Amino acid sequence: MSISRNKTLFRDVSILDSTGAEPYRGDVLVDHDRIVSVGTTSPGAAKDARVIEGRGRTLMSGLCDAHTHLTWNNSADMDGLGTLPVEEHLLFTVESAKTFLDSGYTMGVGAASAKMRLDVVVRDAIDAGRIPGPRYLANGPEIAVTGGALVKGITVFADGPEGMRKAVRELIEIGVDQIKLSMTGEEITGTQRAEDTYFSDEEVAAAVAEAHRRGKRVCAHARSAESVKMCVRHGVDIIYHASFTDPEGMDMLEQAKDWVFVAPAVNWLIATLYEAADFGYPPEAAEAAGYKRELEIATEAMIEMHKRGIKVLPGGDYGFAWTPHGTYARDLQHFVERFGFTPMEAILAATALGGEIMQRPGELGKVQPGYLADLLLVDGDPLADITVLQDHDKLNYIMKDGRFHKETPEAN
Amino acid sequence: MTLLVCRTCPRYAPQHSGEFAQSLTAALTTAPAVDKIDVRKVHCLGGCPNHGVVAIDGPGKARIRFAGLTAHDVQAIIEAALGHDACLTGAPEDWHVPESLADRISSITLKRAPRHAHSPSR
Repeated sequence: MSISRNKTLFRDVSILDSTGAEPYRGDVLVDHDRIVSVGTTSPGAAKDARVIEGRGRTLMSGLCDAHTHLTWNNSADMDGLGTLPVEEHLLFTVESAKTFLDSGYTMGVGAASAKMRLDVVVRDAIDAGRIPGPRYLANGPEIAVTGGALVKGITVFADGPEGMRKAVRELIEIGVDQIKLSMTGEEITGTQRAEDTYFSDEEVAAAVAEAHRRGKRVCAHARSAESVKMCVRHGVDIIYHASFTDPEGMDMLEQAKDWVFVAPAVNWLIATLYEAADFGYPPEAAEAAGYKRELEIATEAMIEMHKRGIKVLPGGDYGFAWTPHGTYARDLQHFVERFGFTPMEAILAATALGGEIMQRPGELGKVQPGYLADLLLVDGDPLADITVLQDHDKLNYIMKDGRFHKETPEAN
Repeated sequence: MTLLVCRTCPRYAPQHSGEFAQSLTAALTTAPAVDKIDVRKVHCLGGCPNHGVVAIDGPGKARIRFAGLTAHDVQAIIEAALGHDACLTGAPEDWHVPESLADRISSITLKRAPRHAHSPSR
């Protein structure tokens, strides 16, 4: 009997389908790039399929990182993001794209590129099947106003509404999927405070209007209370960090919860506060800079957002020396342990909401008939222990578009 | 409890990357009491300048990272994991850190328990 290269039957798996239903045992059939049946499969439909014996292992959607920087190069300092020569930087970006897929992440939302076209060309190479990587929404360098850049070497500068429109147009011309506004500071810079807001209302409004007019989305580095409100007022689609959201901003987010996404990138706060000493930034310095205070305030904010039904997604700004690529699933542990998500809620945020933030809610992020076959076969139960997703050895099979990126030889 | 083992140490010497995890995993397989420990091989633990990194973690407990280890430290690592598991907070002052590891703690990540209890997910 011939075995089809285009059909795969996952037999006797625990199906974690990301609809919110409890996992259940059954089969999942994949034909070409799509899931065709979930639960039961007729023998005829599975004829000639390659069979993967699940033996009760968990079959779930691939994960989404809502705050991805493929070009962040595991640098030990902020300026290092910009100083790597473009040739080496491209190699690194290709490697980090593969690392995302190796880690079970089949979706990534680009949150800024360290150089103009790195995100775009790597996205295109992934889409063309030339290199392995997640489905990826590419970004350009973040836009900052004069005096408001976090790292000058990775920034496009623009001032005033006309300047914003021009910068947005230039980035759209190179092929980005979305635009990043760097609206507030970041304490590790030592000079740009997290609660400072550098953009004006007019600048945000112009950038968003221009991007939306061209069918592109806008995301923003927005830590301050005022920046969060500015984002909602002017229709910024994805708000990163949102640490200092005040009661008025919280109400505005709740009013906008049908369309706005928040991704706190909490691992950055945690690791920078507690785990960066080996790279010259001890906890005492981080606390003095304000990271402990910000972490506590941001935690309260995310708990409140979750309570109000605002869409909060994992995605952690990974790619610094103390927040290295490949450790993305740590965000899910933080959502459970710090924000009070149940493991199911954390997984839904990283899968079903991932499909939404990728703008493909009808075909990404769930194990359902008709969805694209981006699947993980996990040796373990992530609802019992969310940390299992951090262990690459437990990700026995990784499939994207119906094709295996990783296959673990079965023990006899 | 969970013992997290870096699978890329030494990260900055690519030709030797992964050797630490291989040697430690081999040592763990024959070590007493290892069956009480959930070993997770993770991509990196961010303690790279002093490679040979593991961390001990548990739900709601402080995560303790040790660096500069080799497979010869396997017994002390297991002893530490069991000690961490037996205490409520995971903070090093609340359990006995083996003497050979005491100066190799490279980070202590404090947790914060959720303010409200959730029902089990399943």
